[in-house]
Amino acid sequence: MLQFLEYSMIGVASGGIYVLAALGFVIIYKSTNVFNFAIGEMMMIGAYLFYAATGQLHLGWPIGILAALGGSMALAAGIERGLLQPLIGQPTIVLVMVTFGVGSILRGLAGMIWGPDIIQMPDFLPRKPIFIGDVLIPGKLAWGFIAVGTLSLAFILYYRLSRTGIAIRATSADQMTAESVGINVRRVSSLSWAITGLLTGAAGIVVGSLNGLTPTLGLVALNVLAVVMLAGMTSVGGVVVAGLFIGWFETLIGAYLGGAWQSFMPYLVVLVMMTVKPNGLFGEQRVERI
Amino acid sequence: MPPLLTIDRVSLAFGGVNALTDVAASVADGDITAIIGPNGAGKTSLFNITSGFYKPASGTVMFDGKDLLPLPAHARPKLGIARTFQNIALFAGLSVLENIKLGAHAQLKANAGTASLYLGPAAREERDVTAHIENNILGFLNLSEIRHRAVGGLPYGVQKRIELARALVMQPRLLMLDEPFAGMNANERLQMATYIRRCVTESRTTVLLIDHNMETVLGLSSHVVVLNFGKVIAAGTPDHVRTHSGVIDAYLGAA
Repeated sequence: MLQFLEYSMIGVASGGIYVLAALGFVIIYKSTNVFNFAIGEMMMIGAYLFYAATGQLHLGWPIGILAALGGSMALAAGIERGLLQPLIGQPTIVLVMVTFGVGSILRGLAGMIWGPDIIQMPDFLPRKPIFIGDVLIPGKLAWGFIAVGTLSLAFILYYRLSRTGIAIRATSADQMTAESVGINVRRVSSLSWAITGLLTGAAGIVVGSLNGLTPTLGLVALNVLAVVMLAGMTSVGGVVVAGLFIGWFETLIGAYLGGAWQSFMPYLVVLVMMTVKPNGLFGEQRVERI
Repeated sequence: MPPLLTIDRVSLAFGGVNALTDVAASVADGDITAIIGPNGAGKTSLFNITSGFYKPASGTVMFDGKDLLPLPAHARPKLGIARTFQNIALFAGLSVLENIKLGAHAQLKANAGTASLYLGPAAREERDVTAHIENNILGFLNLSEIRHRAVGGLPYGVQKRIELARALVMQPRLLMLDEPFAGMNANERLQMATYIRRCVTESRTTVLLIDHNMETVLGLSSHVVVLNFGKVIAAGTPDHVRTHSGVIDAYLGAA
């Protein structure tokens, strides 16, 4: 029982990272309808930027975080401005393929700059384990979870309550009407990408310090896609539930059945669920008035 | 006084279909102007040109002496142009109050950065808007009770009022209403007409509205433009239009 609780806590904590990255995915999908396949690589670049600032330039972790988050935001905004805005009006599949290509390029560039080998990130999260009763949670994971949890919560509040957040939600509901009240839809799109850069950069730093740094760090994003599909693509609240669930479920499967099962079980859950509820657990069914 | 909005020789084509041909119309300041015509006459296309969603192949659209056409759609509300849509276009998933507040978006000066930090001027602006909505809009349109409800489940007539509220928040100089009476029964039509008239008399708003129901519109407006197959076939006072033979043909079919 104690072991089950430990695995559960570890699972939920690692699910927090999925939540953060999935929030980034959802906000882009909602405001621009682009399915962003580069989400994992955006995480990976954030982690490498952190490593470059701290491990290579020895600037200390606060500056490392600023550099990583700032760099990720700039990169995301650059992708949006440079590659996606010129393609507005093209079929969505074109935009999706562009994100796929961007992902591959970023992976290749990271390999060229930092090499293919796994790099240990400089420690900045405390290693000392945290005990909740008798349940032990590894220190890095616990602090990582606190960091991504705080950021997720801050983002959700911003999205729900701030005027900018409401403008983003309005744009995602109806672009034409949004323009008619004076919302600059292009700017909302750039802003969504920049916010996603921030969220994925942070998620990348946490993943990198837990698992080490390689150009394929972004592959964890495959689970983020499972989270997003389970939640239903558009639901911010649903992503939180689905992210924590997938993290928990995957860890338990890995612990009790082994790594081979762990790699595909989340997707099996998603597939079964989608046959029952094609729009995801919390997805909206858009009803058109004709 | 020069007209507030002047549309001159505007033509618009979709593929090979001429949606509008050499359309001219003007909207006098402080009046209610109506554009009427059968379905497919080009009324909404004319609205969409004025709000910036379509670019005409030729012609000019002047608002208060300024050329509107080079401006992107999101810049036009800043000049004081507000509109509603034929199919109700509320933001699903947002509350009544959030929907209405968005109507003030164009006027607020705080940018994304200051607005999100919610500091000083941004917070004050937001308070002013909320106070304006509370004092002047919600009561006027009878929406106070439901301000925190999600817009999704509300009855059709109420949603129409919310859309009008959102357009009124910015205290527009020109209020464009695309079929404000669509789908309404006689009672609701009467109520909506009263709201529109009060906007003009109490806030000196200029109204441009579209409808295909002649009777409601003729009683309400002081100037009427009749479109058919993308061309202006008559323009003038309601009495002039009511007895115009071309208009009668367009509505009843040529005899």
